[in-house]
Amino acid sequence: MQLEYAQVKKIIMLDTMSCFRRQRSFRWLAEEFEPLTLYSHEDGRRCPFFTEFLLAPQQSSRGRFYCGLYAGYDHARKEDWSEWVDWLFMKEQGVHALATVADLNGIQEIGVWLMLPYPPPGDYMYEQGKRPRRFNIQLHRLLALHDTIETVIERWSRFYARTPVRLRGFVWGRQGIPEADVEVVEMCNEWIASLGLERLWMANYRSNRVIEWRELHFSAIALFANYTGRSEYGKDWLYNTGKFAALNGMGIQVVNGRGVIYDPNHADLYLEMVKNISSREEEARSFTRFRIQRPLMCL
Amino acid sequence: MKILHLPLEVGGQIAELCLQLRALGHQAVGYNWRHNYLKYDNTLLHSDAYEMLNTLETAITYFDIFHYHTGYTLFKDKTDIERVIHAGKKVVMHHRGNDVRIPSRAVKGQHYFNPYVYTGDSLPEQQILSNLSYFSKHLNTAIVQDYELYDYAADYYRNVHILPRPINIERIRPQETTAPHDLPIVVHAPTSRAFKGTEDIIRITEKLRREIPFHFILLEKVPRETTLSCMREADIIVDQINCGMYGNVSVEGMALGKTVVCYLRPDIKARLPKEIPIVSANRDTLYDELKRLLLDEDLRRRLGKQGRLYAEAWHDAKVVAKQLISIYETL
Repeated sequence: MQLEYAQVKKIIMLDTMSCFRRQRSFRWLAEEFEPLTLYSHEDGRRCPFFTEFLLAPQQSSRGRFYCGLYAGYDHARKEDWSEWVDWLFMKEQGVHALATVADLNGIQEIGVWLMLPYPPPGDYMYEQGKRPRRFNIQLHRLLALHDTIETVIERWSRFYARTPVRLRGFVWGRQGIPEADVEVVEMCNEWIASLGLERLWMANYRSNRVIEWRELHFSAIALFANYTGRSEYGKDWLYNTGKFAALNGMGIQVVNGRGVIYDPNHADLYLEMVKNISSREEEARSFTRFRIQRPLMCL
Repeated sequence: MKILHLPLEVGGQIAELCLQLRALGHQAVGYNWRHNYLKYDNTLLHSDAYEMLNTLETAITYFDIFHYHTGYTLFKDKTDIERVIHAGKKVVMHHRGNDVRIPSRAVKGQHYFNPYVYTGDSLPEQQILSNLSYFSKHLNTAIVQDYELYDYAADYYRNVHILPRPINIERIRPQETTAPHDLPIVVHAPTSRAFKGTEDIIRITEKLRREIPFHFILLEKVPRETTLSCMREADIIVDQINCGMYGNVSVEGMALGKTVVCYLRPDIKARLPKEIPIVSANRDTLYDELKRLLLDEDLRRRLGKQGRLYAEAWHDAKVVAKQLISIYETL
């Protein structure tokens, strides 16, 4: 059986909160979400576009980083993690705005995937006070994640239970999983699984432990080919990533980026790769990611 | 200053520099893509080339100084350096050994001949020369850790600074009380047997053990902390007997107050501080030097104390970090 391209599950990844590099704050209002959730045919019919959204926090109002290697530049502390949770439940932006767009346009369900803040292992203070928590203690890293996830789930059930937005699951906050993260990832994912939620890893094609993604208790993984057109990774990486992902039941990241390492044609090649793989391989799934928040691709 | 060290750790030195730079009020971050049995702690961000590359654009915006190590860059063709420079950021290359140890020149130079040196771990000569040409075309300044490497880099860059290997003097210190061992303990901890002369060291110590009783401990493929804890128990530490300049093991040994044996090429030794207490030995002299040290406990104790003072004077990471800041200020 061939998997129809239309059947491929597509998630769009959006940066949220502050970003110093682009000197802006991503609030995501309803009018910004609308062109991502619906598109218009030439005859005027409006059809669902993306129905799955991955929200990735960048920086807090204090300028501290939430995810990735950036979390090791100036890491987010407890007050920043709380700010992220609060951001998820602010009215007229983010998830709330998404729910509004779905309501207004009769979209029955929109899935939301939340990228978790990353607690970098090492001598990073998370919370001061009588019982300080530091990320050089594995238990403290795990507790920070547990507390935050619990708060999100509790508030989600109060705020969004009667809306079309559904919390699909959580996304690990780093592309790589070094040795120090393995236990925390396994335990955190196991716990999220027990709550009936998905666990997604946005990895690179050649990231360490990619092939062990199931052992790490992820329920899904999406690979980035590292092809951008202006770096040393050629088109062969793009196609090999597609084949590898298809053979191993993985998703792929489709990037539409701007900046010094991106050439203007890379997005077309990504689309071509997705179409080739999804039409040939039963198991292929695609997670779509825009590096910048411009829906330049039509799927 | 916001400083990014990349892309790998070198014997725990990058982590130490980052810690000291942070203590001086700078924001210092280090990437490491080298993961091995040494099992470095989490001072640096352990990652891989792919993840590092994906941060490049943000890193270029965020950091003021890009401090590359060991001739490695994120792109194989090394052009990420040009992109960083193009963005108006400062860049320095820190050469560490095999990336600049030009095989032909390692053996013979204007003022030296070293028949012992092993260059099989070095990059091919043409590649070293090509890399040096490329780097020095784009960078004015390089850092090296000693005079041996200085000579390789000096012909290329406008400025070459010698930055001694940093060590945490407070953490790596002699034991408070040391009960004498029944037999002296000699430790050798190679990361590369051929480079350090391990086969000769084993052969010579075996011969010597037939005459004088002592323990010989060979530490290989063990985490750095295990090596350090064994070195704390040692009486004599043999670093290497080939290269001609002392390395990390010697510095750690001196900081621990141990007697250190390491081959110092005569022309390099002449440029080092006169008080250097390292006992120089190569495969032709190791037997005699080691025998002398094994038979003279007072000499070992004296050299150990001198070694500690030398490490405090020349390798204290706090001092080295300040030297590094002054280098950054010239970029």
